Amino acid sequence: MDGNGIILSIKNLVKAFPKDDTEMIAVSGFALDVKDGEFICLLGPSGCGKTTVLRIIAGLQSATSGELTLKGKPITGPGSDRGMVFQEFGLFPWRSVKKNVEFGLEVQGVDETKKNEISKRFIDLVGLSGFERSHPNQLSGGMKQRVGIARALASNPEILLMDEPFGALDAQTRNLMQKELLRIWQETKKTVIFVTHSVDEAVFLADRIVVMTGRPGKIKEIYTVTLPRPRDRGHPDFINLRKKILDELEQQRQGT
Amino acid sequence: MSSLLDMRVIHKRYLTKDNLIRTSLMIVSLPIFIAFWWILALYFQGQNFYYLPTPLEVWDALVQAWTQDPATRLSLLANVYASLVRFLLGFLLALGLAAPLGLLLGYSRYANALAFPVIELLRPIPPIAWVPFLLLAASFFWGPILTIFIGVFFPVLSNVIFGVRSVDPLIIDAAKTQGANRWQVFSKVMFPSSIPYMMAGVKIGLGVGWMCIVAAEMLASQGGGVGAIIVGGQTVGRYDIMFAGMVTVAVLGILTLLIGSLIERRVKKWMGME
Amino acid sequence: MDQTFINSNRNAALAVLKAHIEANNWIVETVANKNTTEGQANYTLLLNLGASFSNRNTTVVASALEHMTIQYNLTEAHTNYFKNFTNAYVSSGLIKATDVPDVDAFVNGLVDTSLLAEAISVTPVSEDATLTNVRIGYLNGDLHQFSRVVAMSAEVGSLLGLGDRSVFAAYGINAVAPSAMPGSGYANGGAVMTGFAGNDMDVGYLGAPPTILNVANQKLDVSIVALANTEGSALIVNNDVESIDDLDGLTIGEPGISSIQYLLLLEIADRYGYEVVKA
Repeated sequence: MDGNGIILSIKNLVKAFPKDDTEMIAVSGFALDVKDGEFICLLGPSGCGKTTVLRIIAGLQSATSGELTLKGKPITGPGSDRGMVFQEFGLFPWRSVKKNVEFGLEVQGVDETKKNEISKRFIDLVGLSGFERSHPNQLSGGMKQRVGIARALASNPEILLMDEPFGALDAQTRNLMQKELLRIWQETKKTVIFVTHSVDEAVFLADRIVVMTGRPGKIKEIYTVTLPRPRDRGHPDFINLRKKILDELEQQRQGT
Repeated sequence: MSSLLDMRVIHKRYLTKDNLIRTSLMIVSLPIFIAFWWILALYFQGQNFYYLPTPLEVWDALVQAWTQDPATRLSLLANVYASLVRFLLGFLLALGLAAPLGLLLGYSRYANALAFPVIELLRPIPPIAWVPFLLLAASFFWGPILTIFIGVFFPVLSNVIFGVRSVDPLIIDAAKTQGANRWQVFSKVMFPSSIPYMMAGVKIGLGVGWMCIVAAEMLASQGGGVGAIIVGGQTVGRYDIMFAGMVTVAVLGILTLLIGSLIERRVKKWMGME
Repeated sequence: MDQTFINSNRNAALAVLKAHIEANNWIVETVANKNTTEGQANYTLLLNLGASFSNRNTTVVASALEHMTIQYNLTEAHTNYFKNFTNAYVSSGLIKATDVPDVDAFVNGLVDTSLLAEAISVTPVSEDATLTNVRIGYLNGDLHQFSRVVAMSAEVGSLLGLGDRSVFAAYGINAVAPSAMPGSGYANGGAVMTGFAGNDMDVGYLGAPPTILNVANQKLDVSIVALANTEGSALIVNNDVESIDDLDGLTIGEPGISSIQYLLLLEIADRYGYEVVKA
């Protein structure tokens, strides 16, 4: 992290896929500096490249060109310094909640006592105490995602990447989870990069909203949201900002 | 294991008003089959056709075989024991080779490219066809065992390869973002993930294994065997002895399959995939 | 021979037997005269016939001829052997005692020498007569049935003065293979008996034991009408074995529990006080 408190720096990120005999440019010229402890949303319609950017940050995909540095060190592949939460949860079905959460710790060779301590802390944090022994197939969608969050946090990552994590949940659970996420975030003070296509969700959660446009994917506009939390969806400022962004996206869609 | 004897589960599965009819049908299924068989056998015997023994004749042959089976001059248990030993050895050998090999071939595209043509060439050859060669190449003790090995090997191999390839890429991504290296992804994610498929292959292998037993023992059988009873009975025209052997194989097949299913259920429960 | 065949076409059955007898006699004579100058050619022919059928060389065939007796005449002594076989089977459990309550009656009913007696007087048919098809099954490569092989030969037919046709043909028989018989013959006696069971065969060349077993256990309607040979089995040992007692504890291979050799083994064990145990 440099003197400005920037934890993640992305410059000139380009990602191209070969397609037929030419290329398809998924992301072009993406640049962003993320401050430590910030909650960033990448927002845009499907195909705008937001998930691609996230996966490149996670190291699950490589950039065609550009620089990505996390705390000054370039990103070369996946690692536990960038924890990730997935839309379809990605839990290990044969492992209990506790064992799922402890996966990253196992990988690192953490000793038994410490493992138990850490997993207990995060299981309690996400509100799943008592479910340590349950298996994923016994849990509801919301509960599964809590496990996903606990698992990602247990390895103590530098940043938390979330790929439409509430997309598979019903509306009520989704709203509940958004509030839960904010609570957890405020307690752990992690930097979060959150991908979504829901304007409402972005306005509710984010410090800054990075609005992307597709084909090729690039940043259209970055909004800073100064509304104090917890945010009231009925508040005029909330409604205005949401409308503004929605109009913007609509314009893009219509090609103006 | 516990749910086999759990009275509440049994009640729910078989004895509720809805299930009662189906349970009754299951209970009468075998007696009806035996009655039908009996009538058919008597009819044929009336036509001077003695190749179908009546259930009673088969039962008598079984009872006699319990003390000493005339075709092999050994007791039924001795024959069963001989076959079981062969079966288990062949089966475990096949599992021990097919599982790791399947993991390797499922994981490595290069290894698979090398192995694939040879495997697909050998696979369609029925294990039975290998028997004469194996008896000479591998001794009368190992020959039948290797026949069973061949029969069990291919289904298990295919299933394990498929299992490894069917791992949800999502959990592989998840493991990577948890800092797992290549070996850890393989051992902690791909391998456990493929176990249910391996179990499915094992169950298929169990059935095939018993079929191979009879074929293998047809040519030679040290220490007897259920296949030897079948072939012996057939050679002297004692079809009641032959059928007695067949019934024994059927029972053994069902027993091993039951055990296999129990193990599979255990594993699935441990894997949280039930 | 299948009893239905005998009943429906006794003449054909007799003709087959006649050819069998003629072939038989020719073999015995040829072997007896093998060292005379006139007999040489016949002997060579005999050896060649045997060699091509059994896929062995002529030395082997010559040796085989020395170790077995080609004869057709079924006497009471033989019938007694059959009774001994049957008893052995009943006591070893391979035939159910309930199926054969009276061994004597069973064997007496199984053997029918009346055809042999009548067959002697059968005469050859004219060269343009239509031949009757008779399905004759036999064992793969087995020289015990040498008579059949010889009866199929046109050379022998002309040597016997029957014209340029096989001995079978000379008596009005066209020997055809049963439809389900493998090209080179059945693998064993039990397999031959399936020819009878499947109504695929009229005449079969095989050993007495599988015949007795399958008739008793399957109640096939078959009759033993003649012999093809006697004394055709051997116990092969290495140089360490010089008496039956030397066999104690050794593993002995035999062609299967329906073979004559298995019965002989049981007989030897019984006589010398040993027990046969499956290895």
